[in-house]
Amino acid sequence: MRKLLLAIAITTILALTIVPMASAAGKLVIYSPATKATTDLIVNMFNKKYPDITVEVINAGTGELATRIKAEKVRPGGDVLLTGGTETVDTMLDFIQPYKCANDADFAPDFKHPEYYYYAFSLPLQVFIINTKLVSEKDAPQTWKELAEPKWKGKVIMANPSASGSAYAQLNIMLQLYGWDMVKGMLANTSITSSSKLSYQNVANGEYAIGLTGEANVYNLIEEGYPVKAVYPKDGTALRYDTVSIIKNGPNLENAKKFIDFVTTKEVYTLIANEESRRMGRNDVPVKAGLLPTAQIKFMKYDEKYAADNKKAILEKFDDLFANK
Amino acid sequence: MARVGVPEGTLVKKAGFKDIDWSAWIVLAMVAIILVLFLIYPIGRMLLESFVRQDDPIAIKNLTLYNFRRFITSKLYKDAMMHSLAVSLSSVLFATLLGLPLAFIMSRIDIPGKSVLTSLATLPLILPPFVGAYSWILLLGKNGFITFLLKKYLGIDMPSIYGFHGITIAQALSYYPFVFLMVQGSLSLADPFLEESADVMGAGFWRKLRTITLPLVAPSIGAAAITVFMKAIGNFGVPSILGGEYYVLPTLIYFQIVGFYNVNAASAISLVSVLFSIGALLLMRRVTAKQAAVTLTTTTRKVKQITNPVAKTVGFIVALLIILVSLTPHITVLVAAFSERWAGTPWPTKMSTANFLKLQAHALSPLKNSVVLAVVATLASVAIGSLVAYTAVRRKFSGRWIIDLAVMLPFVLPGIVIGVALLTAFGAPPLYLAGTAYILIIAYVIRRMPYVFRSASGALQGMDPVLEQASTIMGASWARTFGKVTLPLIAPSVVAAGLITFTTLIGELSTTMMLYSARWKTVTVAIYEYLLEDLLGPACALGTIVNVIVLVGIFAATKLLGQKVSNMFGGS
Repeated sequence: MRKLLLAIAITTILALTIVPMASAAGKLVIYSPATKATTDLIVNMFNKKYPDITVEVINAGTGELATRIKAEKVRPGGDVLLTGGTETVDTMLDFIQPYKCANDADFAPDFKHPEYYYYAFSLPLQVFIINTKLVSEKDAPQTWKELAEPKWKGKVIMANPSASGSAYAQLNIMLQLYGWDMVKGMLANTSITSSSKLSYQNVANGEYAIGLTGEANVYNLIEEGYPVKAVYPKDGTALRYDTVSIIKNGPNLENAKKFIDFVTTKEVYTLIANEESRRMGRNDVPVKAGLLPTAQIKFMKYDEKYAADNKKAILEKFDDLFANK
Repeated sequence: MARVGVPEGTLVKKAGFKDIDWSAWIVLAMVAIILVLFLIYPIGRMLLESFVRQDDPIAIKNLTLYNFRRFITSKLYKDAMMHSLAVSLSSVLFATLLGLPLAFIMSRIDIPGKSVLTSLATLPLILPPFVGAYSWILLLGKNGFITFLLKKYLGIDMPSIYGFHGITIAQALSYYPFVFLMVQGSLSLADPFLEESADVMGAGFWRKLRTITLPLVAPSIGAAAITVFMKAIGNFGVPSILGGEYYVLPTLIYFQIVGFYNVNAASAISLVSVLFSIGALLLMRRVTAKQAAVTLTTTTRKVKQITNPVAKTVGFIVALLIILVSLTPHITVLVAAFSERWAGTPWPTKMSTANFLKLQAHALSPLKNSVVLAVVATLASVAIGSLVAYTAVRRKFSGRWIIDLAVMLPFVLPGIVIGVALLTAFGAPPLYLAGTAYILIIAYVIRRMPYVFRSASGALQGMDPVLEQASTIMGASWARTFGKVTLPLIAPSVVAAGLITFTTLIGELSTTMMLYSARWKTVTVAIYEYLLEDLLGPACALGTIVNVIVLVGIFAATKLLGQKVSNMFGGS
């Protein structure tokens, strides 16, 4: 019995040591689908200005973070949602705290929510990533429509729109441009992976010739020395953005406000634009040299509200086509 | 029922209030509360959720089969169900093809280095399977190391690693130690008289194998096969990395949770997967019941070993080959940990310790968290698991099977589903635990208690209750009897199960994924975050550190207990 009691005592003592500490004044929890490199960069800068605030980050897919925020609605664990796409954030405004940030005047009306639920962070333009060892820039598909041509069978990869916010945007671009018939043709050629990150990794690693992804991923891979290039579809991509917003009833509201005020400054956006090859949501922040200037990119008419409102029906239809391909 | 363990009607005088042994009842009540609150309630609630539509409250009038409709209407769902079955069965087949010969060689042929080989063969159980899965892309992907060598020197084009082949390879190689350890266990327990009698009667090697040895180990092959089947059908990590378009049931569960936060649809899919597993589990109970009758041995004599030099050489080479192949992912992880960049090239481009230095930024507190959570959860599993086992084995009351089934249920539920069940049950008041360490510990305890439970039940069943009865008759309280008589006797099995619990918790991902918070991020989540970003080097460096912690822990424990690593895993 003594050993059992000892075991119980040790368990109790250990259990007590992990009692969550009373929400300390100096904390901030960020949920973000961005890469660790991006969040590290922002957190380091933030800590230079606010050295007393301890920042914790969860990096996970948009869908997973949305699930987490909804599941935690009674007592949210996160304070800030950084880089959630509008198609997802628009479906969960009940969980978002509106906040008119200090830099509100610097954001064009197109780049923020009219009731201050969120501000644009960056513009993740969806493009084709090609592996230049497997297909030349000249031979690569130039339009979404070409992705449905039989010659690309087995060469294309995209993420499953059920799991990935960016893939859901890609699906909606194709749907809104051409409808389900074209998507069916595209599906016949395309491998569907369960993570958006695998869709560009696999092209960089030479497993596939063509992938559908956000342009910043392509430029980051180019800088790392991978043989890849970005192709901007000639039939247009969507002008959409990911957001910064405050999670409603988060544990550290005041720090969350400080963070939003900090992150939306020109200084921070400029740094992100240059370090991470992102196109930013402030018009006074120029795109990094080497990126195609925004004026030269063809945009299609993208209805993100339709995408957000019909998500369930669209995804079920996609599942059926996918299963029958 | 005043005195526990005493057959009713013997020796017991009519019990007064003071005579009632409260310690036994307090423990029983504790066990009941823990089981009901943390196990039966969340899982029961989740099962009910599968019969109501999303956002509907659980009520009779809302009951519907709506969530199951896609198993009829959608080809995707029907395919995923068939895929789950196919890939699990083929994993079982290949795990058996690897595990069976190895078990036979190790227990019947006198080859050198047996204890080292046995420990090495146990290793694949320890490495988190999703890390191993990723290393197969490095080896067999289009730009993989082996693919490169085969193409360059032999001109062979390898088929794609993604899909059925890849999942089967990765799962069979992770799970074959179950077959090896369980079959080896029963082979070395088998009564040598049987095989010797066959020898005396003039039976040849193959005849003896066919008529004596195989029937002897058949029950443990069956038990191992079913263990592998349940592990494989509930695995999310391997298909998520190697599946490509080959969707299995856990993939669909993940999409329902991540894409729609539809707990109801996810529960329905889980239920279908669980039905397969429960079928397998019932089969296993029948098989293991038979096994007990067959393997009882009357002698402690070891089985005679084959010493023929040809057999020894061939046996050694085959054993070494099987073990080397199964360790390939571990070796790959080790090499990748010291490579600055590997993905996309056949060889690592540069070797250094840079990956380990990078870990300082993100991995220190997850490492600490994992160790703390795993230690606390292990201690709790050991304490609760052995008490529950005691209750189930020693108390002869009707409905005992409910405890049995309740405890074993998490063993057949996919980890991701247990995560969802706990989140639904404890994500709202009155008992709000989401985001705390407690919810992770509860999840770990209910998921891993089956190990302790099975191991302790086994030990208790093999122990004569006369010993305990003697103690109670002499006037010792239940608590004193349990502590002084029962516990010391079952301690070796319980400690062994505790060690398996600890090592597998350090590598737990699928439940943790749903329950971790920024404060309680574990080392597996950190590895997964690295993998998703293609930061393969740091992921493998962290994986290597986890393996080292686990190996040191097991090594220390084996020294303390004087047991072999393989005994601990075989004992479960």
